[in-house]
Amino acid sequence: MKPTQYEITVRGQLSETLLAAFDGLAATPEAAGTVLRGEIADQAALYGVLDRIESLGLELVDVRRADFPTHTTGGSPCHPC
Amino acid sequence: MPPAVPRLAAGLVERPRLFELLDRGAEGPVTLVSAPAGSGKTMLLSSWLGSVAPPGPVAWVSVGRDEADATRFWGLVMDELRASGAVAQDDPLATLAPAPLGGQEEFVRRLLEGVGRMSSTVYLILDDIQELRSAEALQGLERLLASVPPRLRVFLLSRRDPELGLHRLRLGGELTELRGAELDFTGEEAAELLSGAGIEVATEDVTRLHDRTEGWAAGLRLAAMSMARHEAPERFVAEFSGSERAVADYLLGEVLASQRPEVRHLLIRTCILERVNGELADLLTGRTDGARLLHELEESGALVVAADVGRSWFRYHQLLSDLLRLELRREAADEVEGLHRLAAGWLSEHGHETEAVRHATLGADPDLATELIGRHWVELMLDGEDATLHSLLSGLPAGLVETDAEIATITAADRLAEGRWGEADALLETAARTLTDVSESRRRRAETALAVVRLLRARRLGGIEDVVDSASAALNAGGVPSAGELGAMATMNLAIAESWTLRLDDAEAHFEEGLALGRTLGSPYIEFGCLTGLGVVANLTHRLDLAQTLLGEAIPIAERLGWGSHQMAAPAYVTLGGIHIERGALDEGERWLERAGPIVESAPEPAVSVGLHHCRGLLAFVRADFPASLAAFRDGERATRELRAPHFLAVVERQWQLRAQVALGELDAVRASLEEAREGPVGVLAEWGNIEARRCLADGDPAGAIAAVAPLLAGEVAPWHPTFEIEALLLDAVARTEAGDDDAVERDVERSLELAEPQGRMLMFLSVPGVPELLERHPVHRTAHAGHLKALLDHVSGSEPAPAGGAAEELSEPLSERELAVLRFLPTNLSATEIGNELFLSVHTVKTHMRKLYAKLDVHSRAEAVRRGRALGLLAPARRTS
Repeated sequence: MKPTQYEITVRGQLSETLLAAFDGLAATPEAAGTVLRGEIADQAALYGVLDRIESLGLELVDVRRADFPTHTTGGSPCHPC
Repeated sequence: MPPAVPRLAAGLVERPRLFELLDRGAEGPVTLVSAPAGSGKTMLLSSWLGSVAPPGPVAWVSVGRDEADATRFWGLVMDELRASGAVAQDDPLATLAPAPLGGQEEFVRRLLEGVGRMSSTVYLILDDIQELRSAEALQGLERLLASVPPRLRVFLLSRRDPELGLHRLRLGGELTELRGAELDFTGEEAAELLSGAGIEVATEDVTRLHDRTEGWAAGLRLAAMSMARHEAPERFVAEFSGSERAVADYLLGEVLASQRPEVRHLLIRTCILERVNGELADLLTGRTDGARLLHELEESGALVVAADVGRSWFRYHQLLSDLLRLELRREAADEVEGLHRLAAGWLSEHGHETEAVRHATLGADPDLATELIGRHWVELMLDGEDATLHSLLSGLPAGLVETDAEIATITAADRLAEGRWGEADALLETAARTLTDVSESRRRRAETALAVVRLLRARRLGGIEDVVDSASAALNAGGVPSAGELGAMATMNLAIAESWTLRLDDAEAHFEEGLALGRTLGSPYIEFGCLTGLGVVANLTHRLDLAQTLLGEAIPIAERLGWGSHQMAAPAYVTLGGIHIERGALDEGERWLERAGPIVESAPEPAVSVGLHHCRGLLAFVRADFPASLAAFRDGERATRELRAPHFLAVVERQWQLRAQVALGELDAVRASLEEAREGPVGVLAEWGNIEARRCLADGDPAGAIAAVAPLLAGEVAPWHPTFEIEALLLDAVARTEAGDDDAVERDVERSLELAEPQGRMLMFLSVPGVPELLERHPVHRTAHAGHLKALLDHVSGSEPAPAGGAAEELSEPLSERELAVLRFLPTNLSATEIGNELFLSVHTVKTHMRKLYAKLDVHSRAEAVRRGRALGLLAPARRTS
């Protein structure tokens, strides 16, 4: 498959140190948490990113292909009260 | 060496509600604890095991990161089971080991059987099972989980649901599950954790903290660690609660920031390691307080845990080490490679080669990585760690395989193991081309490696003849080519190639050498391979007793380790089966062939396949099932075509097909085939005469038969195997019976007995029509071979010798060849003096042999010796009276 734009949302804001784990993805703080956007080479690379999220103890909120003409996959996740 | 059960960190909370779930789980076969990193899985299990009076032996297996080698995984399981005290010393489990180079069904079956024999219930904890990447190991584990014996309780700890067929257990109500929601701390548990850590805060602060971390165990523990050092813990809670930051990020950052500078320095610089000890830490920090700081860290919380019982090695919690690596990259990116190189040097000096190679690669030191791989790749393969070798090779700089002959060779071995023949061949060509570029110091080793891999390739794909010369030149160039595993592997494979090409003296010498090396190294794989090889050579050089003894020594090694169904065991079974059939123990022979059958079919090695078909053909032949025999020899001939170069066995298979065709009455076809064969390149072989004689006899032409075997019997042509001289004599005798030449018949039979007796050969006597009648008529009082004659008569009258294979194992000291010869006379009524005459020994010597063999058999009389000899299969059973 060809490189694809992804948007991956994790819960909470990330420090500079942690953001270094996601080289090549641009991080934007949003209400749902931190959205990591960027081009991901293939499925293997995508799972690599998801693995890193898991091993850093982060909570995965949403993953979507930016070019996919679908609705949001999970709706708006509930924000910590 | 991992600890039996991970040590408990300070400030532990007893969690009765989870203990109850685990208690319930322990009543069934399998419990799954599946929850994200930092959920407190390990701690929960170890505190539960510590709280209940030890319910039984505990085997705790921590799966290594990215574990891709099934052999290493199962090896660890076995080590831990044995260390738990659950395995009795004399139980087969005490020696069971997964076989290198594939094939682990038998291992898992034996493991299940062994656990079934245990006297107490064993708790097997498989921690971090998400790290297990080997499909083979996962399959084996799935099979184990599908039929857990009653004495086993399995606990799976995983960051994600493993693919192990658990849904079936779940449906059957046999799976207990603890998931993230259960593992999350309740408000009360959170309060207990904080007060246990000596932190006094208001109830609402506890609640806020619990809400913010959502009961996540690592979050609460990290918060407690920070608060313990904070002068105002409630302010910490307020800041944390008010922060938008991800929980793990915030808390890890806080904990790290609150460490003393020297601790922080140590953590950041040692996080590149899988595990760390004081010495390594000092090397990487340039300080001398590593051991002390590591102990302090371990005692202060759950982020650093001891990795061995003696608390000299430590591991960082995954959450921490990932964060530390990011910090290292941020703070000192330019030092990272240097740290890896330092670590690689220390690890290689201290015998941790695999880890050393990884660090050398990461430290951009391909020379060190290459050197270490060159030194240790055979060891990895022999230990079954081929997946590890594969990953080490793929870490090397991409161009190396094109320019470094040794690396190209080792990569070829890796591709062979994966069945990628084409790539392997291309790599071997590259290696041959670049061999002269290898530096002087590594040249010899590279040459040896190339020879070994070429031999391995030829064993799988044929073409041994093409490589055996160059290999033996390479390996013999300087005496023992190379010490250690590479030398042993080279010697053994050269010997295998030599035995294939019938250079039997060289083969035997090299197998002996390999055996000694294998024993020195403690490699059962080499030891077994060389003993089997020696057995095969002894068989080919007509020393059947020796062959049987050697194989009788080899096979128990494989069985003790649970390798009895492994590919490498097949040659031993086929050879032993063939010997039994040659000696008339048909049922026993058939049993060994049946053991070999499934192995050869699942992993065909051409030469072994030929041997198996050949022995099946012989067995069917002497049982007079000629259609089956013909089919088997045809299969045998077909299998020789798998070998690239024509093999001498192809002719042998062809000749046996003709014998079967004679027996089936296809005489015209045989005549045509014979004419064709005798004009061909192998037409000079003596054995064609025997087949012609068989055809003549079937055709009612005894004179033709006599003429056909005459050249062989006159010594004008030599048979390639003594059994065919026996065949010629017997055919001659049968032909002359019809002509009424009784003296010549007696001479022929006597000579055939003389040739057959020393090795106890029977096959030809059972496969030439008309021979039983000749034996019946042979004068017992005049023969010098009464023992063998009697055994043959017993056989044709319907009784078979008992299996002889087990005899050598059952006697504490096996009988010598002389003693066996004497034993064979004991069922007759010859006196010691007469036996002496038969064997050209003095009566005194015969009596000495008798005394010794009585002692070995633990008997006190001749009659007892005969009974015991029969029971052990050393003698044919008593003749059946009809």
